Amino acid sequence: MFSHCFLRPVLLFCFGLLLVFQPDQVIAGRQAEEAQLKAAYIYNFGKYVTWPAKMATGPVKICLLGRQDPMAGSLGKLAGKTIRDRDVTFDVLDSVSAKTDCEVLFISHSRQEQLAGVLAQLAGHGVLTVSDIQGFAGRGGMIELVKKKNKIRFIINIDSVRRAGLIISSRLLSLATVLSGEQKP
Amino acid sequence: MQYGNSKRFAHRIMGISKKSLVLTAFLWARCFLPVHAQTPPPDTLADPLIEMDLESLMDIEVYSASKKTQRLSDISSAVFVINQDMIRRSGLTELPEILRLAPGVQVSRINGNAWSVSIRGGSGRYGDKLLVMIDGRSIYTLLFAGVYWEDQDLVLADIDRIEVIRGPGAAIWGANAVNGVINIITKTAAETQGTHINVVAGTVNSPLTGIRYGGTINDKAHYRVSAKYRRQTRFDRPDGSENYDGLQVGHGSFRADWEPSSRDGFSLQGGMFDSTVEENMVEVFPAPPYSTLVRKDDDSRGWNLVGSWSRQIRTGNQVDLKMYFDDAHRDSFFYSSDLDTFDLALQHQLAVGSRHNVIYGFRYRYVTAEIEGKTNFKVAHNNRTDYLYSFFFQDEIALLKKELFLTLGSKFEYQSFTGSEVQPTLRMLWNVNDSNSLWAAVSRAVRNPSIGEQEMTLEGGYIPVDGNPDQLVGFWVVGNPDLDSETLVAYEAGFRSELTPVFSVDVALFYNQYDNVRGFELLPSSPALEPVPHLRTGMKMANNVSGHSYGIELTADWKPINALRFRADYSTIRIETDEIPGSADFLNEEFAGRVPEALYTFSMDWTPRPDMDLGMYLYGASRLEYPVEPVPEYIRLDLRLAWRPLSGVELSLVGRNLFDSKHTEYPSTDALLNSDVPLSIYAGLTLDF
Repeated sequence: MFSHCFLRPVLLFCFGLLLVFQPDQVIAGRQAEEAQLKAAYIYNFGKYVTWPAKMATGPVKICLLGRQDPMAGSLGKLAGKTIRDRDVTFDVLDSVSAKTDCEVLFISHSRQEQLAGVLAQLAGHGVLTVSDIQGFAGRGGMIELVKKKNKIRFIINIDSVRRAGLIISSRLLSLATVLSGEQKP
Repeated sequence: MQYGNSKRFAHRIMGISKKSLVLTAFLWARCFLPVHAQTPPPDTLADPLIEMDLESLMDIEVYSASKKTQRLSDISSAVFVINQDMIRRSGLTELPEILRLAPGVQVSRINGNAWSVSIRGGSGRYGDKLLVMIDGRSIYTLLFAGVYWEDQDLVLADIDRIEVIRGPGAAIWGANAVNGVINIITKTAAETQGTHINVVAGTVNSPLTGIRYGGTINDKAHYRVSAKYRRQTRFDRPDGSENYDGLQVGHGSFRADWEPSSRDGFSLQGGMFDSTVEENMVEVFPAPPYSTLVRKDDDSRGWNLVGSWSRQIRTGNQVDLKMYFDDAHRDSFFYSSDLDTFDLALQHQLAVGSRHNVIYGFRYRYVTAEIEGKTNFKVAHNNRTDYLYSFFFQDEIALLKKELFLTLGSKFEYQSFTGSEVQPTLRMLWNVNDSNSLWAAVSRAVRNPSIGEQEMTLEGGYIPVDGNPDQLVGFWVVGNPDLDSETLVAYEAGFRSELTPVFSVDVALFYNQYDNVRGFELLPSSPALEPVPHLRTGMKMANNVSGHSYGIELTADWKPINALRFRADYSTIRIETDEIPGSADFLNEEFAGRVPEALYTFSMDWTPRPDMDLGMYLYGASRLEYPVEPVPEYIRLDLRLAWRPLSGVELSLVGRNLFDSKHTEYPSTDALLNSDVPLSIYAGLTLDF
């Protein structure tokens, strides 16, 4: 009879299941809300960035430039987490200046028109700029989130990152599409 | 099609015994329950995402309103998706082997270069009840409505995913989507940028090389060029002698994608292949020695060009236009063929009101075939043209928003093989709650007769009566130009559940009723003069078989931590042929091929360190009943260890079939001599830069 031949793997499988693994918080499905997924990316980016010395202590401040962005809720949930033992805080901004002290700034779609001005204000300040505005990395932003075939991918403008005095780990770069310089959008 | 069914005829006369079906559902139920009880209640979705690493995030899909990228749990049919990560982790090197990763796909390696791939029955190298596509281009040959799997190759890293639909997909895909649909989808050029080199060498596969280069034209246009070469050494027959079943395949392809705006996408791709396939053939003579086994190479080559345009009018409203040309040649001992296919398809999908999701489309296909019979094989027409027009319509109606969906649809087809065909489907989906859904469906599908079935005449063999060479009985196998389509009415039901956020189960049940299936009727004996005077007998193809099959397919997926995933599948099927009035039913018992009654897999993917992968894959099949030559049950174990010392560099070591030094997976059928699948070890190097 062939019944014994699948008894063996079934028992093996049962045995495997009964090994007590503390179920980590993972999602079983392979899909998620776009905003939540993007927030998870931003949180992860924080782990692979080294900020200039003046910004390397205290909480990691994640800011959202622009009101009523779909990302507000999901970015807000990052507050209270930690990135390399630094607490994460969250703030919504209406404008930026040379004094903006956010470690990470997500620029809302609604600020597409003012993008050049915003990036100019932040130039050389060690703020990691992230956005899903189309062509963001080509226009001098640091990390652009793009939707490709329903999955989220990211483009890093390595020159913008360097100019701001940030260091991005090679692991992050290896997963990104890397641009250098300013390119036509 | 190559050699007749005389051997099968002989086998059948010797009789077979049937085995009873053993269900193990209770065992499964027993082993799942305690886990369910132990796992804490589901957490919110956002938090687990945040804990995931980047590589895992890159695998997650965004919910989409578009029908084409539905959530798996919202589809009212038995679907499984093999993604690139699974392909890479498996370490498998051939397309048909990769299909083992999907539950319920019956894959058997017949010998070094021939596979049987089937879903819910219909097995054999010439299994004819599946629709198989690469980027929307159908790859089954109209010669016998099956796939020459050995010719199909790709740089595996170019594959985005393989969608495997068990059960009929005819309401959308049309004829031949009878028992299932396999849809191989490659990545866009933008997703395959840079240089990729994959070299594999080992005891069986030596060498295998895949190279791809992806470049950028501008930020909206990308291209890639890929090439692959694979050589397969000969395997040994079960008796230890060397078979003649080696293989060499070269494959080249390109793809260019252009997205001039966020609404429009254009794609142009093309491919070519050339393969040399070692084959055993039986040549028969109306004089001693009556038959000889001939070793001969099939030369197979072809090219194709596929162009597509898709426009997103608004979210959930999209038009797709696809056009392809495919040219396939095969020179074998029995025939040489040249098939040219032109295919044009238009599809529009739109939301109507808040409750209707409508999709409809048209297709036109034109095929010219040049076939020349050789040796003992003849065709009625050396040239023929076939065409097909079809229209399909499907409406998914949300009876209760997000909860209860009714899908109505049908394909209407008019083609040169059998005239018009209607292939409707009716489907229901009930999302009981966020993590549980139930579905059920009734569908009708048809398989059109193949060119071979309508055209062929084969001298199957000559037997001297009482050893007297002047008194010959000749056995012939003849096709039938009047063959009609085979029909299937399929009843399906399924259940999907995320019992916990880390543990999900998928169950599908089916009952298939087949009618009008192509079988054989006995030819009346009559004196014949060609090629020598003999008494002519044999069999003629006819739509005289009906039967049914039923079974269950179970999948369980458990991901206790990010770095560890277990999967187990079990499927079982029973195929029964109805009694056929008259005397010829013994010719027809194998209407649905021969598949093991039970298949199971168990896999583990573990990433113990970020730079290491360990994979374990168990694939088992129950005893395959076959007259004279049953195939014993087997379990194969594959292990893969991969190490990434640097970013973009992966070294891997794979052991396949580690449980035994060799095992048989499929019986010899006619002159297609089987081989044992050996234990094999190979090493791989993958570079991405």
